[in-house]
Amino acid sequence: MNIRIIAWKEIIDLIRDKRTLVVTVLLPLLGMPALALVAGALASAQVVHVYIAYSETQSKTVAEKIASEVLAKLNSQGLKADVKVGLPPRNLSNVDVYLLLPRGFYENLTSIGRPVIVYLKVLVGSVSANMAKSAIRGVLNDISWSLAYRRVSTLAKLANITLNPWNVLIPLRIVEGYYKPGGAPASSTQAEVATTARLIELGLFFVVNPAIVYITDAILGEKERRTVESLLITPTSTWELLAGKLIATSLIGFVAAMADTAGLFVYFMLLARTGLKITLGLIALHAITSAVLVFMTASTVIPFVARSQSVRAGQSVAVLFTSLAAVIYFAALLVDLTKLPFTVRAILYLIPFTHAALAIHYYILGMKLKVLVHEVIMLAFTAASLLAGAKIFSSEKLILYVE
Amino acid sequence: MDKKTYVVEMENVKKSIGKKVILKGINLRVKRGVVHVIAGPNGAGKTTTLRVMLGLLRADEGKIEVLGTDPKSPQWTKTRELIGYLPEDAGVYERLTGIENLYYYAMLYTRGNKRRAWKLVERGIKISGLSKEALSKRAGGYSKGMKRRLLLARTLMHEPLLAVLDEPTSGLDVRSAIEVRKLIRSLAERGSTFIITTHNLLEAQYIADYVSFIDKGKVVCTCSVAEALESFGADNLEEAFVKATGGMEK
Repeated sequence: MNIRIIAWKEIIDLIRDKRTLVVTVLLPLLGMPALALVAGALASAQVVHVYIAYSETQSKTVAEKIASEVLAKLNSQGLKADVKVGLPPRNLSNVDVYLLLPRGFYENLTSIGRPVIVYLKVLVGSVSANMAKSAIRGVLNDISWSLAYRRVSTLAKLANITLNPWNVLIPLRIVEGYYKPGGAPASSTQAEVATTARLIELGLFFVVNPAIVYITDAILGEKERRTVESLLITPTSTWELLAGKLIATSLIGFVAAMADTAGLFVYFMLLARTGLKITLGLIALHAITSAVLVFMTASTVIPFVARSQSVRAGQSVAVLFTSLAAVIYFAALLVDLTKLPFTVRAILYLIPFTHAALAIHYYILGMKLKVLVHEVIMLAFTAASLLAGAKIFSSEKLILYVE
Repeated sequence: MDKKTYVVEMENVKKSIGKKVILKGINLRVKRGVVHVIAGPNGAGKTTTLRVMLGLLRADEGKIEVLGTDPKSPQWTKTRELIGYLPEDAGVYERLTGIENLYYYAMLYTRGNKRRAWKLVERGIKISGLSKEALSKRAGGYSKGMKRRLLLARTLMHEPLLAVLDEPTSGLDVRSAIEVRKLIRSLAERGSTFIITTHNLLEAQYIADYVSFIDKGKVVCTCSVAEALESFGADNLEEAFVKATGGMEK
């Protein structure tokens, strides 16, 4: 069998293509974390200008207290802030967020029944201003709760009633919990792992891409490099040729896919500044699903590339497949694929990429048989596509119309 | 058909690509153990004839047998072990060294038999005339002539029963071209059959036992070189070709 020999040559060819390897393996592995670090560094380098104005001197102390809490909050988010306190300015140049404690503020603050009004204005189109706005709202919210607590306590004292003010302020308490299909209880950690699983389903998109690029190049590259005619005259069957290329590109594609996924994880972790909840089982399933997905993707592309008359036509096929995968995996992030109407699900099941997302989805729900079913469906797609590719392979189309 | 005498037989083979008719009924028989040159001007259908002959393109009509096998038959994959083909614009695997280029094809031809493959590689090294130092470097850095010699070695290292060479000396300097012609003659004397296309009729006269003139998708004449010169009353094959195809085009 010449499959091993074809695969050997493809692997050497790909490994020695340093530029492609750097772009597909090292760049996502190092580039995405670097991107997150740069984004974080840039975000912390920007300075947001906050101005807290008081219209009456007696509000000054409260304004200063708000300023110090806003500053602490923004700093804890890694944002540099310049928070000034003073009388209302003539204009708001060089101010991103403006908070005004108007006349009557202090009097209303210490009253029992009057609303306390403040004015918060934000510079349009500024990301840091919006972050500062959230911080200020947080501080004002705390003040509002504390004010409400004090007012309820005072009223209770005046009415000579003993009560916990929180029972008045928050009379309805929600106790949340999770459960698995079938009703077995699930922990909040399991729910967090499920959320991570959705990110993993999105990450499958990055698994697909290298496989498409490599297999397209492995087949149409022979045409481009003018090696195809000599190769087709060797005693190698079409089946051996395609299978050899499939194995080699899947191996390299898997390495690239893992690098992509690792890079994506580090990116999310750095941006979120926290660890994503993940289990060894999920990591193992992701690795297995990725391997099968790479194999299946490369295989399903073959029948289309095998009929392409030009490198450009092959690249169009690659773009089409990548777009299809993008639709499925972005949908998996936002939609419960299993909850869709039957007709929609039936269409999605015909798209091979859907089954990788479903395998991970069912693993999180603890439905291991369904995980196996979808992995097997992917392998069936692989075998069917490879056979179809070998059947419809056209040496004529590969040889003629060279660009 | 006499399979012992002829390695290639093409009868009324027609081929169109798109709307353009390339081969208008090719009739060609190539004897075993000879150097058979297919000569004709650019665009006459020489390369298409080779591609159809080797099953790379499907004939629209006609009958083809190469080494007793129809290129459309399932046995064709096995028969290809006995064939070497060098396309005119063939490329090398640029990220593989010269040795690896030879080894890859040697492994394909021996179906993974490493010991036999290395023997073929050793023969290929001799045929190429390239130094071991040069062959241990990546083929992407070779000159055009070096690449052509490597490709020729890759095509002939397994001593094919039938070697099909499309313009084998194109891109070679004079000395290398002479060496290639000598090599072709010596392998032919050991029993290999060569089908060579060229538009260089002086070269054809030098190496050919038989010659077929192709013009406008048809074989206008197949005979030995001596017969061609005699029957057209020509001093050389160029003159014979002009007479065979009805004189110079105006």
